[in-house]
Amino acid sequence: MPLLQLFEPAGSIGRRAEELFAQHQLEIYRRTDRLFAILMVFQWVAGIVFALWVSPLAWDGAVSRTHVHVWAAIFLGGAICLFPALLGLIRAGEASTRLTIAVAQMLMGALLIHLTGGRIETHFHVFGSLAFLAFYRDWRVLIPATVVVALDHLLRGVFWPQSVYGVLVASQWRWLEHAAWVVFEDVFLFVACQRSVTEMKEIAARRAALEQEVRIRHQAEQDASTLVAQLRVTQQQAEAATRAKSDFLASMSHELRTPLNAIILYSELLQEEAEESERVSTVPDLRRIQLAGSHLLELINGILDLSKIEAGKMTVSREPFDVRALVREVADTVTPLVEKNENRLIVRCADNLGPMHTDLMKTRQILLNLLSNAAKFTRNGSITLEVERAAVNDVPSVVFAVTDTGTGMTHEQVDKIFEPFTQADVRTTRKYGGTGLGLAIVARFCSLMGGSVSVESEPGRGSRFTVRLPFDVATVADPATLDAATAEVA
Amino acid sequence: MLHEHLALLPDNTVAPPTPSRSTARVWVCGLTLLWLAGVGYGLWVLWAYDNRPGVAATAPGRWPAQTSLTQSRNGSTLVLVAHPQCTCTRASLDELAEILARAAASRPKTYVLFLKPSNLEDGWEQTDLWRRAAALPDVTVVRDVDGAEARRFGVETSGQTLVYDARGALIYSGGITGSRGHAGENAGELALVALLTRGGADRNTANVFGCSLFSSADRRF
Repeated sequence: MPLLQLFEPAGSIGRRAEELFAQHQLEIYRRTDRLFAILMVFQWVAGIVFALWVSPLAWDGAVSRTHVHVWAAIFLGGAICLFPALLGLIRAGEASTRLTIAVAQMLMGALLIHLTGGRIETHFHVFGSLAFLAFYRDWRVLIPATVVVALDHLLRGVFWPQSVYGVLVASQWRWLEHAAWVVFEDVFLFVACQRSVTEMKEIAARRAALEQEVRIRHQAEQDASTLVAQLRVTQQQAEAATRAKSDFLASMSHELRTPLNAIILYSELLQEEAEESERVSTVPDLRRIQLAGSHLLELINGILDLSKIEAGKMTVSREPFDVRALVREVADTVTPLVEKNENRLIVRCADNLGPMHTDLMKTRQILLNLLSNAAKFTRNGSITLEVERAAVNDVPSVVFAVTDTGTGMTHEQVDKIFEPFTQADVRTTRKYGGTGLGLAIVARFCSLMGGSVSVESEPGRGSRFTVRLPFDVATVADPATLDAATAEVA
Repeated sequence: MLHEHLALLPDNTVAPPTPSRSTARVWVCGLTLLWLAGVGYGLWVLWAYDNRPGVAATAPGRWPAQTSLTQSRNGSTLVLVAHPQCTCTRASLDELAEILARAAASRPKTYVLFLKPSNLEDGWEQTDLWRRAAALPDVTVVRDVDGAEARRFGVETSGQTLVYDARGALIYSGGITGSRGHAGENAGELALVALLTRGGADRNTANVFGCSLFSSADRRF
C-alpha cells in the first residue's frame, strides 16, 4: 500500500470514534440491563421473604389467614419484577428495556415501602435505585423514574394524604416538595452521566487514533520486511559479483604472469648478452624493461593473493620449520635491498624459539614485505628485526617486530595503511615505488594464520610493525582455511 | 504483534431495523403498556387495602363499671386494645410510645390489653408486641381473656385507643396510625397529644387500622 494512502483523513477517525463510542455505550446498556435483571429477581425474592417474616398472617380473633402483603409480594412483586427482568435478558441494550426497568425499579420501591409499613429507611431504596440507574450513563432513564415517584406522591396525596404526608388534608402542591428532592439527586446524576459520556467519547477518539497508528505501523512493518528481503537479495547479488570479480582477477592474473615471466627472463638474457657483446647503449633500456616487468609481476602477484583471500580460496598449510633458520634466510634476502639505501640491518633473535607449525611461505612473505617496506622508506638509518616468544591471549606465539628509523606516518596514514592499494601518501608511490598491496597482504595473511599485525609510527622518527603468529596454526586458525593435507596432520 | 491487536478490534456495524424488529418493538410497547396498567391497578388495590379502616369502636361514653381496670382519679386513663399477633399493631405501639413521650407531663394512666382466646395455649399472647408494650414506662399490660374487657369497651379492632378523663368521660376513641401498619405522624396521634397536653383538640376520633379482635363466629356470641 502506498504510504500516502496510510494516512486516513480526520473524518475517518471521527467516524470510527463514533462507532466505537456507540459500541461501548451499547455494551454498557446491555451489561446494566443484565445487572438489573438479576436485581429485579433478587428484589422479588427479598420482598417475599420480608413479607413472610414481618407480616405472614392477618388475624380475625383466633383465626388467621395469609396476610395480603404476602400475596402482594408474590404476585404484585412478581408482576413488577419479572417482566423487566425478562426484557433485560432477551432485549438487553434496547431503550425501551432500560426505560421499563427504570419504571419497574421505582414501582418496586413503592411496593417495598408498603411492605415495610412506610418505614423512612425503606425510602432510601428510591435514592439508591436512582444511583443504580445512573449506571446506564443515560440521563434519560432518570425521567420515567422521577415521574413514577412524583405520580406516586401526587395520587396518594390526593386519595390518601394521611398515608404519605401524615395529615388528612395536605397542600395540593406538597407532592412537588417530595419530587424536588428526587430531582435534587437527579441533577448530580445527570452531571455524572454527562461526564461519563464525555469521557467515553474521549476514550473512543483515542482508541480510533490508536487503531490508525497500529494500522500505519503494521503497514510500515510490512514495508520494512519487504525492504529487508530486497536488501538480502541485493547483498547476495553483490557477493556473487565480488566472487565473480575475484575469480576473474585470479584467472586473469594467472594468464598475465606467464607471458610476463617470459618478458622478464628474456630482458635479463638480452641484458647479459648486451653486456657481454659490449653493446652498452642498450643495457639501460633493457634494465628498464626488466624492472617494469618485475614491478608488474609483483603487482599481479599481490592482486592474485588478495583476490584469492577475498574469494575465500586462500588456504593455510601447516608445516614445521625452524624460526631462526627462516629469519636468517629472510635477512640474507633483504640485505642487498637494505644496503641499497645505505641502511644497516640489525637482527635480534631469542634463543628459545624452537620450531613453528604454520605456513612457511606466508610467514616468509610477511617478513619480506615488512623488511622491504622498511628498507624502502628508510635512508641512512637502521632496520631492526626482533624475534621472541610471547603468549598472546594464552596462546604460545612468536612476535616479529620490524623497526625502522625512516619517514614514519601520521595517525591518519596509520589508520588506512593495511587497506589494499593504499600507501601513506599518493606521492609515496612516485617517490618510493611499490604497489600498495604489501601491507594489505601482510594483514590478511596474519589473520588467516590466526595472528595479528599492528603498527606504531611517528612522522620523521620511523615505524614499528609488530606481527604475532601462533606457534601452531592448528590451535587457532579456522579449520576451513587449512588445506586438506594440513588439516589431517593437525 | 500489532496486526494481531488490530484483528481483535471488533467490527462495529449497526444493522438497520428490519420488519421483524419493528414488529417486535410494537409487541414490546403493547406488552409494556399492559404491564404498566396491571401493576398500577395492583398497587392501587394494595393502597386501598392499607387505607381501609377497621370497624370503629362503640365505646361507652362513661368509664364502664364492669371493667376490672382501675380508672385514674387524678388524670386521664388511656386504654389501647391490641391483638398480640397483628403485625399492623406494631405501628400502633410505636405511636403510643411517641404519644406518651410527648405527653409525659400529663402522665396518663395507661393500659394495653392483649387479646387471649381461652381455647389457645398459654403464651400465645406473649409476642414481641407484648414485650414492646411492657417495656414502655408507666404502661400496664393486661391479658384480656376472650376479649372480655374489649367487649366492655365496645372495641372490635386492634389498635383502638380510648381515653377517659378524670371524671370518667370518654374524650377520645380512635386509631393512632395513619394507615394499616403505617407508622408516622397522623391525625389520631396529633389529636391525642393535643388532648393530653392542652386538654382539647380539633377532633376526638380517627380511623383505626388493625386486625379484627373477633372472628365472625366470636361476634355471634
